[in-house]
Amino acid sequence: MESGPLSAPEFVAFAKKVVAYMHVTTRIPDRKHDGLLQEKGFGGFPTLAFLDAEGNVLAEPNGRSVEAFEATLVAIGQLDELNRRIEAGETGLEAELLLVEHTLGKVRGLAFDERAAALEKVTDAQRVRIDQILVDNEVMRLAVMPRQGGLEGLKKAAEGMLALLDKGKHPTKDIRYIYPLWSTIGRYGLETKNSALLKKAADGLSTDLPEEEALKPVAAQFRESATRLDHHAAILKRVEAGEQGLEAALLLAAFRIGTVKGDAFKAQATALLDKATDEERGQLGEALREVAFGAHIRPFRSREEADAACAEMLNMIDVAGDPPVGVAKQVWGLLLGYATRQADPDLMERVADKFIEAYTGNKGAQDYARGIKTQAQKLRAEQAKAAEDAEKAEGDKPADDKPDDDKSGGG
Amino acid sequence: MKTHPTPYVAIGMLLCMAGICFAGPEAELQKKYEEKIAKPFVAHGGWSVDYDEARERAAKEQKLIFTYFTRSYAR
Repeated sequence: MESGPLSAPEFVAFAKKVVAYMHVTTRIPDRKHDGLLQEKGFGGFPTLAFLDAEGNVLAEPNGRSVEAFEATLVAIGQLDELNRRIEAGETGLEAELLLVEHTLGKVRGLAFDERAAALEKVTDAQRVRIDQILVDNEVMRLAVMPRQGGLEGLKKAAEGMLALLDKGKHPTKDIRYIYPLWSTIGRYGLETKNSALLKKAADGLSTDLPEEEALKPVAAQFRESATRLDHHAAILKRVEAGEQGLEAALLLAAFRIGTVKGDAFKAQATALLDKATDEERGQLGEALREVAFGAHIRPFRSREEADAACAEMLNMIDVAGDPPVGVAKQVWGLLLGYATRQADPDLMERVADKFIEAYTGNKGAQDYARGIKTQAQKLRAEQAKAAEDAEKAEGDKPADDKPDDDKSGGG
Repeated sequence: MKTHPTPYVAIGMLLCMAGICFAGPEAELQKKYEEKIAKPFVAHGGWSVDYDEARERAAKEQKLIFTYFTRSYAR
């Protein structure tokens, strides 16, 4: 937000049309208005809202772009004007009222669809806008299906979204709709090992919102998965054509797409080590290490269990080096939490550097790790000061406070 | 602002997983607040950080208040 729309050049012009007010929750005791977020009925950060001069909440912007802020500001004025005209007895304003209320977030989802279906008088321009909102609403309805119906829900959601696209119905190019659309299709591609769907989802993310940093790692993951599926299919084809000596390559490709994993992979890989080429042996060894790390990457029932797994992974790293790329993000992510819990500044910095390396191209994740490094430096300074203070206090102790053996020596 | 979960959520979850949210003493909180309002985007947008002053200006200039709720106590 702060490095995005609030820093955009066009924000300056928008800010002149309003009073731009930044409320910072500080948690400083007794600070005036510190609880304003809750007082206004909000609960999360960041939140944006238009208030009147009395502090009444009028609307939240219908998007996180300066364009959306502008549109909301205009809509607030339009709503006032429409209400005045309706009160004065003018009729036929239902469609415009519905669109303005939607822009202000006052009518959403099914409520919008129902009111849109009941409209009698709609201009062509209004129809285009209403149809677009209906598509956005449909995407959002489909996007929640996997949460309710598991894999079957994911299938229905992805098929529904693909059907919309086939009909030329594309949601608004806003992350609120684009991410659910393509991530659902991509996840379905992952589940069904469908390389074409994965590529479609990756291309969709990159084409619809090319500047959106948060979507880049998602698109990259879909592309990488598609490449692995294609590689596996190519090797399988060669095996089926009768080519010999591809056992290790096929096993590795199957491991990379997740069709052979855990103990089954360990058994097959170990059996192949003797007849594999040097290069394949190296790859099998890396994959076996990945399986070994993978055994520690799981939901933990307690902090103690998590800490024990992290300690074991650190030991594995100390003995045989960094975790393989396939598990590096998860391993360094878990270890970053562990290092922080241990309040060990050296470990925090060491792990944060590795985390940053593993998350190349993901600015949000890297910024998070940089924050940990800053905390590590503060923690180190605090620990050094505490040690210094303790030493000083020890030196300042009066003779009577010294240990007995100091007092009783000699005679 | 209500939005569908996005990759930002994953980053937020990571923050929670790490369990790092040290609410320091008052001086530390004040320092964090001052760091927050010194960020370049604040001057860029000409943000007011005083609620009473913002309302007074809104009434005088017949404008709406565009409010950005954020925090300084945690990263």
